Amino acid sequence: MNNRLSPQLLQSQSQIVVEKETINKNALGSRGEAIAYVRLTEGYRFNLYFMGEKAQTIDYLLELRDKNAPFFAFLQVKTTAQHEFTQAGQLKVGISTHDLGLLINKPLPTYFVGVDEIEESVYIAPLFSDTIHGYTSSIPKKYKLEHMPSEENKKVIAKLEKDIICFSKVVKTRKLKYKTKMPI
Amino acid sequence: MELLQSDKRTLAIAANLLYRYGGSTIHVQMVEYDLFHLLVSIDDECNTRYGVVVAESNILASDAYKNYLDVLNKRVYTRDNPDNVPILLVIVDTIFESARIGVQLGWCSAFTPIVYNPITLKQMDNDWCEKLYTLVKAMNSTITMLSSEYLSIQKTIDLNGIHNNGFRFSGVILYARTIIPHIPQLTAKTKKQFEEDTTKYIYSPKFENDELDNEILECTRLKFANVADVNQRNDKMLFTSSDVQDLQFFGKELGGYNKFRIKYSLLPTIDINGENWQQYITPISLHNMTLCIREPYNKQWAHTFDHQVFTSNVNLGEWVKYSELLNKKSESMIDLFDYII
Repeated sequence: MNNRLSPQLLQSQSQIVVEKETINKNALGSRGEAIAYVRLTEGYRFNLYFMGEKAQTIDYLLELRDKNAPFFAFLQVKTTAQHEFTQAGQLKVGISTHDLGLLINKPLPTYFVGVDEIEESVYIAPLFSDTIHGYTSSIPKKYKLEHMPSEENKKVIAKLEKDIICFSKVVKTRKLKYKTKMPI
Repeated sequence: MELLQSDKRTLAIAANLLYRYGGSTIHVQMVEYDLFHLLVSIDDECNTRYGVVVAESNILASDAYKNYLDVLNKRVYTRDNPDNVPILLVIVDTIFESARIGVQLGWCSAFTPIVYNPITLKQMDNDWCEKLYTLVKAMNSTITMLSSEYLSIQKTIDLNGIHNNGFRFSGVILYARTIIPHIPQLTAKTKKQFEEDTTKYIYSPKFENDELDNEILECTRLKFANVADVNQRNDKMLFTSSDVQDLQFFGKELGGYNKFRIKYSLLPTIDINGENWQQYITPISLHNMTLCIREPYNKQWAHTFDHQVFTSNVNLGEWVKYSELLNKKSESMIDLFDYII
């Protein structure tokens, strides 16, 4: 049994001061990640693995729980506490052009997840479609997960699941004839 | 955590609710520790921290929970160990994404652990979480002044009597009165007044009873006439976090008592016979009082307070003015029910 607390609790006073400065900065992001986790795991269709602070641009690795289709996707979560919308009704939360480029180039399906911290709702947008106009300032409202479990949420999650499966199947089909360059 | 297992979604719901009701200054992180799942850090003046153990609704009756309590009880807590943080239990309803929360392990004087069993759990909301925050902050070794709205005088009325079955019983009625009305923002003028009032109260040897306190005492005497001796204890000021800690410890001493919120309804004295005059007058309601009393007084008996009306010594002519005064004074009453955990 682990009898020692994590190193965070054993830190020195100076470290506490440094941590205090970063708490407020990170609190909104952490809260958004918690909201996204709760909403996306509604119905227990996905496993979400937090990639840690050091993973560049990716916040979560999403895995389908279906053993017959154990596919994966990457998620980038951005949170806003402003609760502001564009004239088209898109939530004003954005992803930088640099991050957007990195995410589009990932070999797995990648999704941008915008979190409205005030409403505790979650918006999802794919980053591999031809119709991407860039989500540098806002995220569309079409795939929205409400703050509480609902039938609408189930439909959005089912759609996301189907999207990941379809993407993965297409990629798998194309790579079927690939031979490993590391033969044993 | 090995002792009580929780899946990640349950933990995430708990973290989400802690963020929702904890304000913008908290940070929740998952930790690898055997006593709790989440560590909450609050960016306040004493760097308050507490652990949160998360479980699902069926846990309280389980062997795993008993085992967990055993570990908490048998654990050797050494002084000045940074691991000594309060632990809160959060029971999560994963379907409705709601939770109940309460203090599982508290600290007195920052060195003496108290394991709460049975634990007082309440639905997570802003009010309860704010009270829990005050309690947890009070467990910290740093003594801090309470915020102005909580600066108050604790009033305690003791009850001692013999029930008709021959057994002695005891009880206590608790409430607090704020020193000053809530001041949203202190201006230069109100700040000076605030400091003067606070200094006066701190150095005052005894806090005088006003009309409201006297009415409460009188109603208590009427309620327990021929049953118990009713005596008022010396008042105590709730001024710092350690005062809240004392109150919490007092609550622990009252562990075997039944606890109720009670109210008194007051009507004036009227010399009219045979008329059902009471229905024409709205009684004054004095609430926010907590009664802790031993058996045989129970929940059913506590409802007698809801229907009983007491008669004040004030006559009808002065009643309008008097009721205005008491209603205004009753706004200064603070409910201590949630601090007696």
